[in-house]
Amino acid sequence: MTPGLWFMATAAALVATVLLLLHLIPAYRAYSARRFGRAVWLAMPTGELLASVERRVVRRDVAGPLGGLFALAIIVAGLSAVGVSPDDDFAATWVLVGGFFVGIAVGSAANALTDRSGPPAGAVNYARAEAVRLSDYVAPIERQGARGVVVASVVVGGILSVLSATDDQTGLTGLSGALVVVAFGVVALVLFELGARRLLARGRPAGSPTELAWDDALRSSSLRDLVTAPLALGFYSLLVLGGELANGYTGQAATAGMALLIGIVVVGFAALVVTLITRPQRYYLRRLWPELAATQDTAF
Amino acid sequence: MLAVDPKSPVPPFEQLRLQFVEQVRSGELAAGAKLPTVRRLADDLGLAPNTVARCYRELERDGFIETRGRNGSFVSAQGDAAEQQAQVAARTYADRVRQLGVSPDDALAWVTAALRG
Repeated sequence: MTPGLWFMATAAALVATVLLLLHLIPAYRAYSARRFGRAVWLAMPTGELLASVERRVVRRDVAGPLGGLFALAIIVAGLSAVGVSPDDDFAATWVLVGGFFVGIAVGSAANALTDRSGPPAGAVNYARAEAVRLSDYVAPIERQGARGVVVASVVVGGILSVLSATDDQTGLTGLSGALVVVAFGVVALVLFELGARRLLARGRPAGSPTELAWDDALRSSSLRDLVTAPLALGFYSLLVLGGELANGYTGQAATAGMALLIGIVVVGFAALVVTLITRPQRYYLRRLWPELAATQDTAF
Repeated sequence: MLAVDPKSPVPPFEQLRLQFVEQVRSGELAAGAKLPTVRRLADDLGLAPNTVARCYRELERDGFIETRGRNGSFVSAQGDAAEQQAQVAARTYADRVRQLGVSPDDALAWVTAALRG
């Protein structure tokens, strides 16, 4: 591995480790749960439910970085075994970044699918009478956005691959690196679709409507963690592919590459603004608990 | 919302059936609403899948729900033919309103205005 790759891997591992260590401090765990409650628009519960909610929020906070660390360890070991020359540095960087994102998503999914908490035996159990769908938990801008950018990156990546194969004179030197990100985006999207299906099919007993609302918040959060990987990787891969097209060609192809780059940046910025305004972390509350959402407007 | 009390003298299957019937009759569960899968509801309520399956079978026999093959179980429209058609139309409107992200209060106000117009 090159020094640059080692630096990136060490920085990512340090950030993930600090996040994990912070959760060993009880005050930080309580703060983390309160912060999550504010983000998902739910007031902190009291009594036994408070301990259960804190434990589940901490599990969720720890699972993502832990998955990312595992993925980093595997990728660093793999790249060290194979050996990365300076020529392969660009592609290897994206293997590292893509693998880290996918690792975070896998960690979040594994946590959500293995959480077995619930009310004590003999307690009253509550459940929703209507079936829930993915569209109840993840806002369209994230759900359709992830699918859209990954499909677009596959199409653009495919076109550039054909161009590169048919024209030896192209300057698409970083195409292999860009295609690595595209591949990770596809893997992350498949993980999201399969993981979301499993997560929605899985029931979880709740001892009160409040616990049911918290369960919905955590389920929505896990699904949003899962969708972030394909969304980010699809977006990055389109940026890298646009840059390749702009740099590797001259004339109309370069103009098309610049147009793609500018278009992606504009769409990305617009999506960011819409996200900040619509707060997708509270989307599940408006869909599944509209009466509660209406009262939270004044509570928060 | 459904609640099952394991300590109640009423069997869980009957508690579940009565709540579904009440919610369908009151309109809380509208015609066309999709019910959770047997396995999901059994997991949610800590019941055996057979208990939920038996409840669904009895609800279907009594005309409260209908099973559409692999698509799942749905609440049937209740009342005479005109009432059933109105309930189906209401469900279609509600689904569209949710898709558009319109608030339930606004949607209700527009329906009320349209009915009075």
